[in-house]
Amino acid sequence: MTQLAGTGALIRLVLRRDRLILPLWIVLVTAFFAGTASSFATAYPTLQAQQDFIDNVVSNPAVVALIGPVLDPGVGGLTAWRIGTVGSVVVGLIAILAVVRHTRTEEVEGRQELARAAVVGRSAHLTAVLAVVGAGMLVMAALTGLALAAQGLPASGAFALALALAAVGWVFAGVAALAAEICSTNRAASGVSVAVLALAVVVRMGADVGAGAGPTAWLAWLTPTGWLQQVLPFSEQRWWVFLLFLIVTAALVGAAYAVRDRRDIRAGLLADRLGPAHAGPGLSSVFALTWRQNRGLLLAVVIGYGLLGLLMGSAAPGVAQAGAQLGPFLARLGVANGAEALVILLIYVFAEVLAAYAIMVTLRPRSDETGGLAFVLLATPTSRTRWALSQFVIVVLGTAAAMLVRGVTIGLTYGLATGDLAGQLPAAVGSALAKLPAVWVVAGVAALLFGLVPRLSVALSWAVFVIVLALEIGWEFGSVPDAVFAASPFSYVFPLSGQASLSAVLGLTLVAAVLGAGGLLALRRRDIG
Amino acid sequence: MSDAVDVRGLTKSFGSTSVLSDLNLSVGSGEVHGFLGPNGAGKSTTIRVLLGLIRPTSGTISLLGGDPWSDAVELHRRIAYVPGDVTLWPNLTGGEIIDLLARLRGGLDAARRDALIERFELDPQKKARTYSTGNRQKVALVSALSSRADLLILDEPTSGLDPLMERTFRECLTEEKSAGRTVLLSSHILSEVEAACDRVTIIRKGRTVETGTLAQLRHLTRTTIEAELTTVPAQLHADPDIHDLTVERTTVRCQVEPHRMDAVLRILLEGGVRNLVAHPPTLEDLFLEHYQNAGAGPAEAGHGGQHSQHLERTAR
Repeated sequence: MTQLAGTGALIRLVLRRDRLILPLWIVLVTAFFAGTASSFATAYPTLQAQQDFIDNVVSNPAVVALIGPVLDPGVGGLTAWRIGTVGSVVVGLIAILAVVRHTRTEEVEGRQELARAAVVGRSAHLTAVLAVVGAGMLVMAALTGLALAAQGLPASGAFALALALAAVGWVFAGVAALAAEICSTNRAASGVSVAVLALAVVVRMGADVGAGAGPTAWLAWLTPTGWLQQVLPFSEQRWWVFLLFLIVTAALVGAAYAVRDRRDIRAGLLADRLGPAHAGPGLSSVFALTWRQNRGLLLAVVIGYGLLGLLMGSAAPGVAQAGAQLGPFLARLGVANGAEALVILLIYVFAEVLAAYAIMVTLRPRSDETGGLAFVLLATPTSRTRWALSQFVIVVLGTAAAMLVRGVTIGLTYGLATGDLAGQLPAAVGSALAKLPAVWVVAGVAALLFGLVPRLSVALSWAVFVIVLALEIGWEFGSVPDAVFAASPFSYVFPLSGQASLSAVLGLTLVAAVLGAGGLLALRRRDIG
Repeated sequence: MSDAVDVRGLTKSFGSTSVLSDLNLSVGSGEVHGFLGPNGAGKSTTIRVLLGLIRPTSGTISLLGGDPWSDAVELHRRIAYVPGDVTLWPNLTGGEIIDLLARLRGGLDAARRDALIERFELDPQKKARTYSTGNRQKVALVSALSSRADLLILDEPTSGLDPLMERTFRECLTEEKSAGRTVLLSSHILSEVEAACDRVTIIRKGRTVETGTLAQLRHLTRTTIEAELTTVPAQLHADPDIHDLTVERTTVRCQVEPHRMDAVLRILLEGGVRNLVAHPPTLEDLFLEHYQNAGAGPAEAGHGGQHSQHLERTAR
C-alpha cells in the first residue's frame, strides 16, 4: 500500500491542473453525443423515414465500412451507429492525452521526481491519473445517458451506449498507461498510443467491409470499437461484453504497474544507448536539425498511411461484392460503385486526419520556445525565419509524402484487385494530392497563430481542427448549410463530383502560403519566449 | 577602442509589468565584465535583449557596433552564448550538439573542442536527455569556449558545476581573457567574478546601481578599520565620517568613507596605535549591501544610486 501513498493529494493536483479542460471535454463530448441523437430524431422522426435513411445511405457499403452497420432499430440504433467510431476516437484521444500528460510528461520534465521525494509512493502518479480519467469517463457516461434518455431514447439503452463509450476510454487509458511506462519520452508514448487507437479503428473497418456479415466479421471482436457495436444497446443489450472491456483494461493497467515496479525513474523499458561523439557531416544546418527532430514521427505517419492504404485498397473490392444497390449517395460522389466510393472517401477522411499531424508539426517551434531550445538555436546565426520555415517545409513535404504514399498504395492494391491499374492508380494519386492544399490551409492558420498569439496558438489551432471536423459532420447530416461548410478548407476538396477543381487547389495553396508568410512576418516582430 | 556592449537607458515592459527600467551596461572590447544582481533583477532579460530575442521598449543598444534586434543574425556569427538554464535536443548526443552549434555559428577549433571535452570530463556520446544539469551546462560551455566568437555571453555558467569543474572554468576564463576575447559573465559566485573580472555592473530591480572596476567600487564603499590603541581619542565619537563605531576597552572597530581615510588615521595616531588592520570591502560586502536593500523601491536605491552617479564621472 505504501506504493500508493500520496495518491489522494496527486488526484487533487490532477484535478487542479485540469480544472478547465476536464469539465470542458465532458461537456463537449456529451453535447456532441446528445446533439447527434437529437438531429436524427428531428431529421427522421418516423420509423419509415429512418428506414428510408438506412436504405439510402447506410446500405451503401462504403459508408458501412467507414462507420459500421446500423445494428439496432430506431433513433437509438442510428445514434449508436453514428457516434460509435467517432466517439471511440474522441474518448480514446482524451484518455491518451490525459494519461500521458500526467505520467510520462511529468517524469520527463522532472516534476515527478520532486513529488516522489515527498511521501509519495511509486505508483501514486499512475493511480491518480487513472482514477481521474476513469471517473471522468463515468461522469461523461452518466451525463450522456441522461441526455439521451431525456430525448426519449430507452433509458437502459442510453446508459448502455454511454457506458460502452466510457469503457472504450478506459481501455485507451490502459493503453496509454502501458505505453507511458515502456517509452522513455512523452512524444513516443502518445505516438504509440494514438497508433494503437488508429489500428483499433482500422480493424473495425476491416470487420465491416462485408457489412457486418462478411468473412472478416470476426475482426470486430479484436477491437474496443468493435465491442462498442457488439453491446447492441438498443436491442439485445449484451452486458457481458463489458467483461471484455474490463478484462482488457485490467490487463493493460496491470502490465503498466508491473513495468513501473521494475524500472527506474526517467528510464524506459530499454536503456539509452551511447551515440556518436561527433556529428555526422549531414547535421550541419537548421534544416538538417529539423529533419532529425521530425523524421521519426514523419516516417511513422508515412508508413502508417502506406499500410492503411494497402489494407483498404485490397479490402475495398469486397465492398462491391457485398453488392449493394447504388444509392443517390454514389451519384453525388460521381462514382460507379460502392468500392470506388469507399476509396475516394477514405482518401478524403485521411486527409482530414492528416491535418492533426500538420498542426502538431507546425506548432513544434512553439514547444521549442517554451522549453528553451529556441534560445540556444536563435543565439547562433540562425534567423527566426529559417528556424520556423524549416519546420514549415517539413509540414508541406511530410503531408505530401503521406498523401502520395496513401494514393499510391490504395491505387495500386485497388487497381490490381480490379484489374484496372492504369485507371485506378493515377486517379487515386491525383485524388490524394488534390486534398493537400486543404491540409496546408489548416497548417497555415496554426502558423499564423504561432506568429501572432504564441501563448494561445496551441489551444486555438486545435479548436480550429475541431471546428473543421464539426462542420464536416454537421454538413453530412444537413444541419450545417453549404454556406457555413464553405468556411472549412475541406469543403473545396470534398469529392462531390469527382476531382477537385484546379482553381480550388491553386486557391487553397495560395491561401496557405499567405497564412504561412503572415506567421513568419509576425514571428520576426515579436519577443521570443 | 569602441565598446563591445553599450546599453543606455534600456527599458523593457511585458504588458504592464516593467522588468528593466533605465538600465546601463558597457563592456569594453577585450574586457571580462561581471554582471551581478539578485534573482529576478533582470539579468537574463538584459541578455535576451542583447541576443535580439526580445525587443527593447526603449533605450539605445549597441552590440559589437551593430543593433542586436535588426542585425541579430550577422552579430550572432561573432557571439557565443551559454544560457542560464541549458536546454538541449534530448535525442542528440553532447558531441553532436557541440558540432551542430559550431557549424551553425560557422566553425570551431576542433583541437580546442577535444581538449575542453577532456578538461570538463564530459562524455560526448551520451544522449542529452540523460545528462544532469551540470553536464548540460558543460556541453554549452564547451560549445561556447571552442567557438571563434569575439564575445562570450555567459549566463550563470557554473551554477550546476562542481568545485573542481568550476576551477576548470576559471582557468578557461583566464585563457579567454589573455586571448583577448570579450566576456559578459552573469554569476552569483562572487569569488569567480572577483578573480576574473576587470569591471562589474550590479543591477537591481531592472536598474543599474553600481558599475566600475572592483577598485572603483571599493573606493565608493567604506573601509573597515580595526585598531588597538593606547588610549581612545574622544574625537572618534564626534567625527561624522566614522560609522558603526564600537569600542571595547582599547580596541576600536569602525567603518570609514574612503576619502576621509587620511583624517581618521590621524585621529587614531593620536591615541597611539599598537596594531592596525584595515581591509577594503569584499565584493560580497558590496553585494550584500544591495541585496539587503532589495526590499526598498527602485526609486530610492539608497546610497547605491548615489554611487552610480559618482561612477558615471569616475569610470570614464
